[in-house]
Amino acid sequence: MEWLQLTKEQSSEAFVEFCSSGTVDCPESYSEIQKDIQELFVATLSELNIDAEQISQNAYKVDYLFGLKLYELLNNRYNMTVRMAATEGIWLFLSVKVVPDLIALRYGTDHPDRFWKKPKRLWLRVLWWYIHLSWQGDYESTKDVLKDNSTDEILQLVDRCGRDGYRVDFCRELMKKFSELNPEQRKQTKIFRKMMVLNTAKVQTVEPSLVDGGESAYVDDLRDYFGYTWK
Amino acid sequence: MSKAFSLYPVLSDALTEKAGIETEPTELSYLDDGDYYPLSMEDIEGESRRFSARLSDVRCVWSADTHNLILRKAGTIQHPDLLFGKDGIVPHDAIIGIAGIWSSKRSDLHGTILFGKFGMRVNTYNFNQEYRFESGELRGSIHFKLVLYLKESSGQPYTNELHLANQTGIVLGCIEEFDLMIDGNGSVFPIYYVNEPDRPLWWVHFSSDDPFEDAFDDQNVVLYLNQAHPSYGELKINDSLRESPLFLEVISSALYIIVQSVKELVSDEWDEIVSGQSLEQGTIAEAVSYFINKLGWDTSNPVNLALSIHDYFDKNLR
Repeated sequence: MEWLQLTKEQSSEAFVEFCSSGTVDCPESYSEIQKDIQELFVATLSELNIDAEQISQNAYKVDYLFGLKLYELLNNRYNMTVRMAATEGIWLFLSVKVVPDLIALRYGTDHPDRFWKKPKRLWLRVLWWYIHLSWQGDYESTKDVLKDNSTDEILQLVDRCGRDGYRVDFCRELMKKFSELNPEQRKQTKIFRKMMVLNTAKVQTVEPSLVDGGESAYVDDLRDYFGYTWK
Repeated sequence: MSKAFSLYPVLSDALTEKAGIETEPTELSYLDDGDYYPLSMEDIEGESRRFSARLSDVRCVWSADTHNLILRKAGTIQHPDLLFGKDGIVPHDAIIGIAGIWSSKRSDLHGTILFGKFGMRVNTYNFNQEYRFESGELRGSIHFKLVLYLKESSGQPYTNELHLANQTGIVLGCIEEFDLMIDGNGSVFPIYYVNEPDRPLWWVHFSSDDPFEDAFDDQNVVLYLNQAHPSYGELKINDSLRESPLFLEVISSALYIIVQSVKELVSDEWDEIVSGQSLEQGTIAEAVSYFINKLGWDTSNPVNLALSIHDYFDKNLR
């Protein structure tokens, strides 16, 4: 796959063009990947048995199920690497030149942050990283770990990892252990958010992978601090 | 962030020297078609234990997309026993580990490399570890820190050791750290040539939301030069800056705009840029910090900034 890139300025222009014309200006070389992504999106809606109008009421389910499919497609069929996934120009291109219509279905066109404006908030990029940081080795195990989360967990996980880069093994361990908590209880107590805030403070002095017992013991410590127990 | 105040003793320069902690130069190499080739560090700036450099391949083959990067680091601790006990950094019966902690903001990644561990009862301790970054993993630059950390806590610290760190995973100090630029040379001022009648001779595009994260590259900062403008020829682009006062004016003004834009954008965090501490390599913040601290530009107000930029070019180019 020869990934094409846009600058922020170019993507801003392409976004305005998409909004005014309502048509997608996808180049020929991207028509196959465009079709593939659209099919995944349609498959996600039918898996949830919803139509396009019901996306906002099912935002998280759409995000994580579509995210899982997108992650597998980009990695397995189009050889997406972490280096590529960290390159904002690639996501800008996909967002405004290939599938802006899908982002519009999810967010409407009054959220330019999700199309081009905030490189860290681009919907497709956020989904890819959410799945990457939650990956448990295969599709089904990852789906199982993510099924009871909400869009707040996406934001907290993908956004809160600071300026230092993601600790991938820690994130995956955290997501696994978090899924073992009672879904009702964790919603009420916002425990994920609290654990991420505590983590941000702790990593100033402690490196999770260097703790005796590794990331697993480190995540247990984050939980114990708030007095919760895994089920 | 790495400057966080510490509640327990950490490795000082004095203790590093006393304990005889020494490292060999970092060895970098890569695998290409079944053979290993060395990579070198160029443009090294800073001190021996804290520096920045650019990755260079004499064969011009290495690329982060297609090749791995093998890092080897070795060193010696002559008197490890001095790191233990009340005047050291951990209790007498704890175990110290050595690790590499690397991070790369522009790769969105952070990782650790285990080097080894030792207790109080060893003589000279040698470490030597290799690590492979896979192809397609790294982007921009990496920051590498060789650290000591608490590997295993003390079962029974003496009463005079209770002030020492005793939580595993705690970083006890840095032996050596460096920034390694792996893509490009990081110093290119992005200039685009356009052909747009009815537009000015030049303009600046600046679209960063966060100069601490955004790269000083054409995603965020571009100087546009308009070939359709009647005065374009006067720029004498192909001559050196020295022979084109107009082009020099354009560059000076563009840099003025960029610095002022960053200053207005970051407002409260401007001090971080001025101090130049813990800035990610290759970011807009780091570039501006370089202008201030290395080129001596005066950003106290717009008048002084314009003056000092011109002054800099006058003194250094003419």
